[in-house]
Amino acid sequence: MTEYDNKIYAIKTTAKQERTVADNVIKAIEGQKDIRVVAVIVPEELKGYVLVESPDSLARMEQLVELIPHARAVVRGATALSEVEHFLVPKPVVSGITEG
Amino acid sequence: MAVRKAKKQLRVCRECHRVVDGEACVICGTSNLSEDWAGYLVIIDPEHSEIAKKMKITMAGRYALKVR
Ligand SMILES: [Zn+2]
Repeated sequence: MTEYDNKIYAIKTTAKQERTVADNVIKAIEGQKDIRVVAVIVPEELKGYVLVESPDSLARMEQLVELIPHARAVVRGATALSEVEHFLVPKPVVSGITEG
Repeated sequence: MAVRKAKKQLRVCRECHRVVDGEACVICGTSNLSEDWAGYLVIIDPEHSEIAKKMKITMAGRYALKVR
């Protein structure tokens, strides 16, 4: 299998609880099959949100939010991984200074 | 907050960026760890995650996005 049909959802969190929410996603989906989450990104640039990768619908993500302390709401609509990829591969700060 | 100091700073592997509990990375076996990192990534199901594939992560777990 090489292609996925996953979507990226943004979940609003309590301030400074982004990492806690990401950890709590693991606990919330453990031992149940209705809500599937395959990964969670917490970019440092994005305060008050975590990004969830899931093959499921928005309605499922709303159920997920109910199960997680400090998770407040799902932002309406999903996005594609390509839209958030830049958070995964941050630009190097020091290397490649060629401008001049 | 009184509890703030009690929360210890997690350390990550400088090579694979995995959050390490203990003294050495379970993937690389190195003890080349860093406390200076940012961004956080939780991989739950690496086989079905596009993000895991993108990051070349094959083991479920917690990772840092940036390590200094
Ligand atoms: Zn490692």
